[in-house]
Amino acid sequence: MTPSRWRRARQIVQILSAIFFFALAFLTYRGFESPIPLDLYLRVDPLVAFGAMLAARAVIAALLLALAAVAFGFIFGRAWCGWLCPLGALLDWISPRAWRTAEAHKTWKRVKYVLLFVIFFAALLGNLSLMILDPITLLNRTFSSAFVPALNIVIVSVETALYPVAPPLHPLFDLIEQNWRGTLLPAHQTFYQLGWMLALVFGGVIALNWIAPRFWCRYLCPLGAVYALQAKISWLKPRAVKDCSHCAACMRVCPTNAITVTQDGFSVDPAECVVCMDCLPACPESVIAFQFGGQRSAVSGQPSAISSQRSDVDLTRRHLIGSALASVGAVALFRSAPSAARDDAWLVRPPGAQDNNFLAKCIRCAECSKICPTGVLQPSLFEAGVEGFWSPILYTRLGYCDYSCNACGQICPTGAIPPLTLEQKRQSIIGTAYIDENRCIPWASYRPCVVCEEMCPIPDKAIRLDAVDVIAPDGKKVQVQRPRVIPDLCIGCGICEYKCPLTGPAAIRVYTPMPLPPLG
Amino acid sequence: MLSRREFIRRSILYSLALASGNALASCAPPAPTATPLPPTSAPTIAPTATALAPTAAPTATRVVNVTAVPLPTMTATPAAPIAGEPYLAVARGASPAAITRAVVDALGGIKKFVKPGNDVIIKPNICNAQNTFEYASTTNPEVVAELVKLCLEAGAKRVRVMDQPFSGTATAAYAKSGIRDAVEKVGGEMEVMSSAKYVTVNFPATARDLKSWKIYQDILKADVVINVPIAKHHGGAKLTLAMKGLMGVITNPGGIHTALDQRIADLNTVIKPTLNIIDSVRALMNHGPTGGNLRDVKMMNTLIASHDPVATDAYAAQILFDKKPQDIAYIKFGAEMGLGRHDFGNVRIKEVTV
Repeated sequence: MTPSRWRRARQIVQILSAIFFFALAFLTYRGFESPIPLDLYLRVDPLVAFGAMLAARAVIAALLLALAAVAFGFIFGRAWCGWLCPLGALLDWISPRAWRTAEAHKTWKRVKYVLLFVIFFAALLGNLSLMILDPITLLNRTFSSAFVPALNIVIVSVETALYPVAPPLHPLFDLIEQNWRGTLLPAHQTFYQLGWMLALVFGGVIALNWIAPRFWCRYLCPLGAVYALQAKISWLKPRAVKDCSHCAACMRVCPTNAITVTQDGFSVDPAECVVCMDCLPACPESVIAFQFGGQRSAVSGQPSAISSQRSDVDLTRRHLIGSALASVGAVALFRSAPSAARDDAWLVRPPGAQDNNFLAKCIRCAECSKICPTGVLQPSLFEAGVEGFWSPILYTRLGYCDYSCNACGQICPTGAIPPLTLEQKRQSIIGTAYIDENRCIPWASYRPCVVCEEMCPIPDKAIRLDAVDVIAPDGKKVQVQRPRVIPDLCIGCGICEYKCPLTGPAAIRVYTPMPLPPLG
Repeated sequence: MLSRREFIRRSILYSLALASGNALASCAPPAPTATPLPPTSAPTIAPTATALAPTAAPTATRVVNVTAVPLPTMTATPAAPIAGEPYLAVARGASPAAITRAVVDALGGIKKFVKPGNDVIIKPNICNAQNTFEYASTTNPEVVAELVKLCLEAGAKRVRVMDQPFSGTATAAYAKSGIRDAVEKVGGEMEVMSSAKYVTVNFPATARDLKSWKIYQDILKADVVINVPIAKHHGGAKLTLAMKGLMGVITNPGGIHTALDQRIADLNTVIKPTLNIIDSVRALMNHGPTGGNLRDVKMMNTLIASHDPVATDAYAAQILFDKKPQDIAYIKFGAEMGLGRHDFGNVRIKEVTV
């Protein structure tokens, strides 16, 4: 293949990979049953796999596919970043018109390694907080909690506005609402507490492109750091196959500033090279080639300055020890936080997750939140402490755990949410509802309301109604039906809280479960 | 010439502006959210007519004519029955499909209701995605499918079946209830109710509490709407039957619960199905409307049909649940408001057994 064909091939693969990633993401709205694992990109993510396995102290079968990614890294170096990574693709596409090839700062390249080491040491200590920096989890969270809810608002707003005035568009709207809703789009509009924050963070990652191209990949991405470490000894490497005129054309097009051309020669840092192959067609003399194996240029008698090794980013023992100490310090701090002493009142975890060593298994990938049909599962703020930032909890005022659904446990790639059968899930206690009698309409306002009892999905009803004769403020005797929770039957699904017609906080709220031993 | 980049930039900007305009427009204050709570003392009207059609043991086809004093509280003429046909029909039998056909035939046949080329909507109760139809929380799929067949036989252009479940997704609920398979097999369409299709409707003066609410526009526009609820216990309204089933075609049904009985009756001032058929092949006798216990399910093998939802509900309350219709507040309100009758003086009731 000619140099420009290689570049074209990379661009096509990159487009296909991004389309594939987003296709899988949209298809998640169909449900967890799929011939291709919907979490495929997470399964081939070595950072996720080894982080989760180290922290959970277990071999997670679904993640063993990452071994293939490791082999890939040892063969192709950082080709993942240039060819396959969907975030890398977005960063290539959403970029300033004229890329400045400037280096933000040489030593910043170390940041990604430091982050990786911190993640590694923290995982050894059973902590996965920084998994929020994995590019796939970052994209997934932004997709499910910010992008899709906003997209759905746009779609429904346009439909609502045009439905009465544009009958010719009705077949299109029917296609969207009948065929796409619940297959490519969420079944209902969902509302995410932290959507704005996730969008801001994602916007920030993109905006860094204006400081330097692929800023995220070059300086911050811990997954990029995994591949960069492998690239240092990878089989495929960019090389100069003959002497060059030092025109530096390659250096100007390189998006990651991996190439250095000086008067003395030309060198490529394989840890920075994402194998994008933009340099191949840029070189007027066809000097550069990607070759497997070998030590040196195939052309003999060339100046020794032609090399593929560059070592201006040396990681020292200092970095390793510093990272280890930082991890120990942070994890110790987390474990001395109030959230470690006592669960937050609103820490309602997905079914089966509460007693499942959850924070040591959850990679914050938001697959559960994406597949949850009611949108109740959301990245948390500080309900689980800083340690559990962006781990999923149920915001039972924004959705409920549907009695007919067990999807989150089926899709969770690490088993942090166990794959319960529907029957097991229906028995799994995720929280307990309590009524605020000071605000509940029949209790406080002497008027009928039975919504919580009506909605309670437990076959024998965990909410019951007591018919009570009371004297209303106007002196008249009225009968009201007061709801009462039977805590022993309540599983904390939260549909009562979600459907409570009060404005603001519901008069019935789901708290962190407190299972009691059987009576008597 | 615009550069490609400039073109993309401008189109994104314009569409964002458009979208945000629409989003803002749809954020306009929804009409009736600030409805004050109704007075605690509901208007009291002395129940008068207690003599109701006695129900005989199922026999072969027979026509019952009962004479009783009509309720003085009825302020308007009830919707008229099909001329010369019974006001209400009851069919009993072991085959849900056969009694569906029989109950419609008893009212004069499907052709009295569905004309060739009609756009028909059948509205069963598919309230959640958690139970199969054996648990009697959703309408019997055979009944719904037979209705689809009847409408198609009568020449309907299109027969759609829809309901908005209050929990779970419509897609999951349609599948779990067995209704999707049954309906699609006989040529009907399942429609997932789209949030873009609800329109604000102002209620007539007969509605005592609701001033306006959002209702699914296709229900208002269709040529024929057949309401096929399943008979169930309900903690607040006591029973959920035909009148209450219409809560499945409005937005925010939870929002009407602070005056549930009155507002159910009010809904019936706007939504007037062509035909109401109460499915009590199985009835849910307790822990409704969600269900989940087979011991709460009672086999009744009965369908009750009329153009008058107050009448179907009154009759069902009495013969299925042994309750006086005037004790079910929304039935009483419906009769007071002239939406139908809950007494059966001078009406023809046809009972068939197949």
